[in-house]
Amino acid sequence: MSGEVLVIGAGPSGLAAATYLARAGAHVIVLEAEAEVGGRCANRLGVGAFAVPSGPPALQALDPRVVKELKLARLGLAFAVRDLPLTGLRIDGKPLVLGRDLHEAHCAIAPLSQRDAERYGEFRRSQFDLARAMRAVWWEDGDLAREEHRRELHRLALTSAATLLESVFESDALKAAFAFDALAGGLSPSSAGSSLTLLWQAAQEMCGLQGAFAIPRGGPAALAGVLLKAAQNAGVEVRTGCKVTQLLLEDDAVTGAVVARGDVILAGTVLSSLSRRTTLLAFLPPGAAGFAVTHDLERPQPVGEGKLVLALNTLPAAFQQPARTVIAERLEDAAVAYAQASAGRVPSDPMLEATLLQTGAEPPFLLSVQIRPLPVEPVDPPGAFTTRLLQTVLRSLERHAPELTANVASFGLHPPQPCDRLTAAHITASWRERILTPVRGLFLCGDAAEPVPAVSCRAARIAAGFAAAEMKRGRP
Amino acid sequence: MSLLATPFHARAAELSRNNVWETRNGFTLASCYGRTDDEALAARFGAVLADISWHWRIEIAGLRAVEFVSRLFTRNPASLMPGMALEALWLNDAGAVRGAGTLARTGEDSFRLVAALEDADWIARAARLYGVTIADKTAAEGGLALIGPAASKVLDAAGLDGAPEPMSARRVSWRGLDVTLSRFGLGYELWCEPDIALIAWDRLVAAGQGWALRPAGQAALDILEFESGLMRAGRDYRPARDGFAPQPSPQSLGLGGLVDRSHIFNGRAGVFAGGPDSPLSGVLLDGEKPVPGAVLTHQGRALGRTLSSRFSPAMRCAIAFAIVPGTWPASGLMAGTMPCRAAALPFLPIPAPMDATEPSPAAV
Repeated sequence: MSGEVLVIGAGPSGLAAATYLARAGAHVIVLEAEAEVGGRCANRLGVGAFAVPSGPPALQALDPRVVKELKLARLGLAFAVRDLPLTGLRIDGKPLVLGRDLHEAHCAIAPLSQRDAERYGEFRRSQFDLARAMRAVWWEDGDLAREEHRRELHRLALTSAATLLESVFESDALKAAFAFDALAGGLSPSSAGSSLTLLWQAAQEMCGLQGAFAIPRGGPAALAGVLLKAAQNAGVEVRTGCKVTQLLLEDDAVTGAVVARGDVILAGTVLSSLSRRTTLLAFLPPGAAGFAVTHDLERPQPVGEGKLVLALNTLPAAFQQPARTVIAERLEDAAVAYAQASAGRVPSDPMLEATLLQTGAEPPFLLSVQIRPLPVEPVDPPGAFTTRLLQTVLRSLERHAPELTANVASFGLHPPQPCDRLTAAHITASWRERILTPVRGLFLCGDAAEPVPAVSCRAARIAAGFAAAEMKRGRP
Repeated sequence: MSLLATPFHARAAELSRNNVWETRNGFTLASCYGRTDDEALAARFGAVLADISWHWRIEIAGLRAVEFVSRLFTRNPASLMPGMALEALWLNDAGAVRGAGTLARTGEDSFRLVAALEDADWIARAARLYGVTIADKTAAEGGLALIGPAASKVLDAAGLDGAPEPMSARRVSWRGLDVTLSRFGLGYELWCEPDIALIAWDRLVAAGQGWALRPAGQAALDILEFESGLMRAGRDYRPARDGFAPQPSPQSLGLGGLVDRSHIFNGRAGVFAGGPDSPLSGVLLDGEKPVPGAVLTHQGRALGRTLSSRFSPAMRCAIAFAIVPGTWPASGLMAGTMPCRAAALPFLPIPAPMDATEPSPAAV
């Protein structure tokens, strides 16, 4: 196979897709708008003297086949923490720690509810069982083999995350521990099919462990670094500071891209790791993506996720254990928060997931706090929004870590970004539906093509396969 | 739901002997004035006048109007001269038919669409992408159809010289009235402002006295169109209303002839994915009972299916549109349990107007 391929965006997905295509024999150019590669894994968010990624500090969905096939371990990818437990902080008692050991989880839950303690193991086993079966759909371009799994998937596609958790558990603390995960992808925890995000999370594998969260040594930026090495080793040309402004079309097939300087780069195949909305609305002439598609994309997801990073002088006791520490009082609060965020307001009680990182310098700790849900287009002006958000998050944190605010040396805030609207149908759609676009030769390979947005590179690998096959076949 | 009266409603109310009404696009219309069969037959031998004000009409205007209509419609209107028109479909993203109509170019950057079924939201939303304005003219003017061999004679007698060519329209000044004359459908169409609508009706009726001109209701128009092989959205098929529904495709309706596959339009990939065209055909049924949606079989083997079906008073049998991908057998064809035989479309010739210079029936 030979031919020019453009990849838009040098995040992990863009770099992985470029590497696969270069290995298949294509001449690949990656166009990155920013000065450095990495996307949301790049250390771009300033926190005092530090810089951290704008995305979450832990990875949950990195495709193990990408790690293996691109030999990322050999290029230096290693993990500092391989399996972060889920910890739910409680105001009225000990934190609820849900680790991999089901016996320990049973012991932790039992004081709250004996019934939940007994049900938790079965819930997790059956969820992991279905999640493994779902890998045929979410990892491969296949289908579920067993009828009982198909029935269960159909049920979940109509079930909200809140309903699922309410139907299984009775303890507020246990249900609240899942409240943050129930808001993944900007879906409402009360919307039909939002339970699929919990299932999708259970289907992932990190460091050989199902449903694990792992922190790369050097942070997510280290992943971007090894993917860049892999791409360069494969002969990929990476151009940074090269923002794509337009895609060129001939008939309904892509023929190249125009970059901000006005240069034209011709290519018969383009993979975009940007959102579907940006790729099809901002880069294409009006209507070229289809009138219905355009109409759907005009409305972005109203609710997203933000990140606040606090540089701390002392270690708060509540965050001493390495964990994904969820701060949520009740599951019902997630639905209320979602309604507030949908209306453009900062939720009074957002769901938080905090992870403590050590800097090895002064100040010695960074508390990375992911915030869900947040309005993508807040009604408050930017300054007021930031102030209100800071106050709200710090108030929530101080309930568990008094005087935390006094220890904050500096902070960095990454507001929610516009992204594609996630639906239950998107989560269970085929890879072909998510990756192919109405424009021939144009493929999506980033979050837009993943069932649920995450640093995964799985869509990149599969999209590269589709693109390579089309290039081999030639255009009709 | 409130019902709208067309600008010709006063005349229709006077002439409607049976008081049979129907609603189309929100307008109240005479279904028939006397006997439907007589009105349909009259259009084949003389001339009929029918109220077509209910047809959905929009003006498409803007600097990028040409670009917009090129993307919207399945045939390229960019090369149309002002005053000329073409028939085309518009499709959803999956290539299913959302509508069909006649698109006339009215100026350098303006077009007019005439269609049986409205699809305002879809077209307006798409137009916004191009900064093109859509103005609904349906209630802003009345429309009359003049159909039959004597139609041109009536126009001539009414003082409307120079009847337009097929698929064309022109603005004329008619003894002080500004009207638009077009020839998009079975006969001629006259479009005018509501204020002068009744004057226009009266002038045509007066001019048609020597040609046995009579009003025809919507039921007769439906029969005429059906016999002439014209499929109509909403009547003969249910168009797609979802942006991604795969059916009905142009192929499944036998409307592939209205699709220029070399032209770039919305839903083109879906059309290609739908395979080759199957031409629309007709079947004559051995009976008077219509058989819509029946499977066509030959010696027990399924060949295709009928689409819509109705009784033809001129042919004294039921007729149906049909799609048969392969070749037709010479005999032994069944539509469900009813024997039938293939027929070329149109079932009956379109009641085209006689040339104005031909001798009148009275002179013969």
